[in-house]
Amino acid sequence: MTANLTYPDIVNYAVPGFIVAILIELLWIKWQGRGGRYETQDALTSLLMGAGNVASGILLGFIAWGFFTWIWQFRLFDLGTSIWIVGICFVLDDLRYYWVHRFGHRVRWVWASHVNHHSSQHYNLTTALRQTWTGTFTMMMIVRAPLLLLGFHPAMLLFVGGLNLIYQFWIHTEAIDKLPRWVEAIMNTPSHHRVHHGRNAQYLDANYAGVFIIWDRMFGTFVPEMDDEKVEYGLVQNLGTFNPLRVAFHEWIGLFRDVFRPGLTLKHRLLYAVAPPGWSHDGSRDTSETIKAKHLDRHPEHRGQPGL
Amino acid sequence: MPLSILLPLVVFGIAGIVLLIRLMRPTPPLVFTDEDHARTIWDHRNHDALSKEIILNSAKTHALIETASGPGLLWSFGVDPVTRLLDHPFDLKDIKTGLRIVTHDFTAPNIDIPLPEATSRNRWTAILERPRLEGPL
Repeated sequence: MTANLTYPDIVNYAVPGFIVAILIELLWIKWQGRGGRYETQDALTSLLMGAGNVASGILLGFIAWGFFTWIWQFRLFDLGTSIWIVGICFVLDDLRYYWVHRFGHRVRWVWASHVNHHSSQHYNLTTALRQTWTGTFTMMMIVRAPLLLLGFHPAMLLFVGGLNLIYQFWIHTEAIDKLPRWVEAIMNTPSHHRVHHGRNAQYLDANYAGVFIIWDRMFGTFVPEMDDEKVEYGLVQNLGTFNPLRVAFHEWIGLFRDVFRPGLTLKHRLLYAVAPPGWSHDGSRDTSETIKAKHLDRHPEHRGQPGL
Repeated sequence: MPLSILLPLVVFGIAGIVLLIRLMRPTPPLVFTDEDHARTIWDHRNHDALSKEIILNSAKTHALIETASGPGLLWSFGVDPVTRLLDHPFDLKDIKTGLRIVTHDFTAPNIDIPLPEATSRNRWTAILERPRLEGPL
């Protein structure tokens, strides 16, 4: 009954909205003298990364689509297309997003793709568009398999995934402070997502949510934005380039250099690809765990705070 | 959405936003007001290699940091700072405006340091070449 199901490509339709919202945020910052920072080259890099993401979707999207339609033939049920099913699909897909995003920070192979989204030292609406060009190669499409096997149609999954992405656009801003308590309790908000983009020891590996922050609260990764810990955006070691090609591929190059360096065991090579970012066979680099531990050595009074 | 609409939308959208940011210049480029300013930024980002001595260039856009682990560089990258501990092999080149550090680091390949005065250039060169001649400081 759902063989020829199609949904509009809503992310593309949202592009004019993205442009207008960026212009509004920019004018707001200029007018108010607060609420974020913009820098020409940084914003250009983010926008080009966004354009490249759309292009890579057009060029490589057939791989994920082929995988989804192949899995779909083994479905246990066909759940149909009612509005309730779309709603349930949206919520479950957000749970799927939480785990893919968590893998994106804890598995270097996936981080190599996701890192570019965190590579700006700014946090404004253009940062939201700083998206990966190499997502297909992470194979994280596999995480959608359970939903397909349950009977959610591939087109519906892509549709709700697009809604999820559009939701996350507006939370990339410093222009909005905290929202009413009930919103902050349930939804991912600018405040929660600022924490996620922080390079502060306390904020590393926190708030992976897409739409609903409840997943972080459930799985123990929630950290609130603290008044006395201003978020510093970017990477633990920030990039010294605005070149989109370097932004897109730098971690892949670092990963393969490590995997193929001489004198390592097979286990070490594998761990350079799949262990958390910062792992090294000789312990010479910092992971988020060692960064937090060193922070606590310097600031023992912070022990027990969220994220530490 | 057909490509015939999406493509111009993306191209003109990017161009329009970039032009507007350029015209508005909402945030000025970063300069380090003095050595203490540079030290604060470096030490905050390099707890394992705290600064000992700091030398700023005359434009106050780049700072050479001496640490127990060797030299480091702090520089203004647009409106933000970037730091690198120069603990991997690098090449040093004279360029018209000063010095270029070729890091062999894919994330910061060439760092051009404006050093118009010959005395500054010589001083930076001596410090940057020291570890390779004498080992770590």
